[in-house]
Amino acid sequence: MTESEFRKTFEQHKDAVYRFAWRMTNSPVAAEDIAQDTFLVLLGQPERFDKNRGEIRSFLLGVARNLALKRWRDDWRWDALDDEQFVAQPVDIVSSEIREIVGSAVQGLPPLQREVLILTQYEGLTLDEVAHTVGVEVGTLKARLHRARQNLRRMLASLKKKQEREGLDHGTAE
Amino acid sequence: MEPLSDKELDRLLQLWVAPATPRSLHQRLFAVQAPWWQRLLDSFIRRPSFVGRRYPHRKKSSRKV
Repeated sequence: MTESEFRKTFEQHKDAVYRFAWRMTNSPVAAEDIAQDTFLVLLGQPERFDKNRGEIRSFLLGVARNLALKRWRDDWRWDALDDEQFVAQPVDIVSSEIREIVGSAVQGLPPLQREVLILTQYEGLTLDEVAHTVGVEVGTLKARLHRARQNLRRMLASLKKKQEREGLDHGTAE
Repeated sequence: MEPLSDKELDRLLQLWVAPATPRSLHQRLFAVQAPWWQRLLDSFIRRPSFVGRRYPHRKKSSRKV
């Protein structure tokens, strides 16, 4: 890979890689480190990307995913990556903005549920592309995505009332 | 409590917007001090440093105890 090719790839995909890393870690510092390391992998080992196996975006997101999970394992080594017994708790809605509540709910998911949700919901990848990115069967991903959405429904159920109430308040104020 | 529908959940999830990619990421990858290939090599190859010869002008006997 020439330097100009590398620069072009960086410009095209830096936002997707950074966004994904930020959503996985909830830390701008960690996200920047992961994004940098992801592109250094491409620079140092370009042969790891095989055009026949998929898009470069999937490859880069896969590298970022492995780096994010490595960080998670270092920090939370005693917690399961995909805890099927995970019980979602309703999030605190009293003092937070709705977008912060949604963010902390997604952050509260076990990492393997979180990554499939982020890759499909926010990065627009199909389940086939996610399967290629994370190296897991589509059926397993479907189950994880289902569990993630079920958990989020429980966690965010109280938001529905809050939104309705705020809508009502705005309506009466006018 | 009434659960959220698929549509309601999707609408809520769209509210969580990621920040823009910081400019510093570009600077970290394309810093101007040295060519990128040199920085890459520097980060992978550990060069030995001659600690014993760090201060060749000093003599052991001149050290005060």
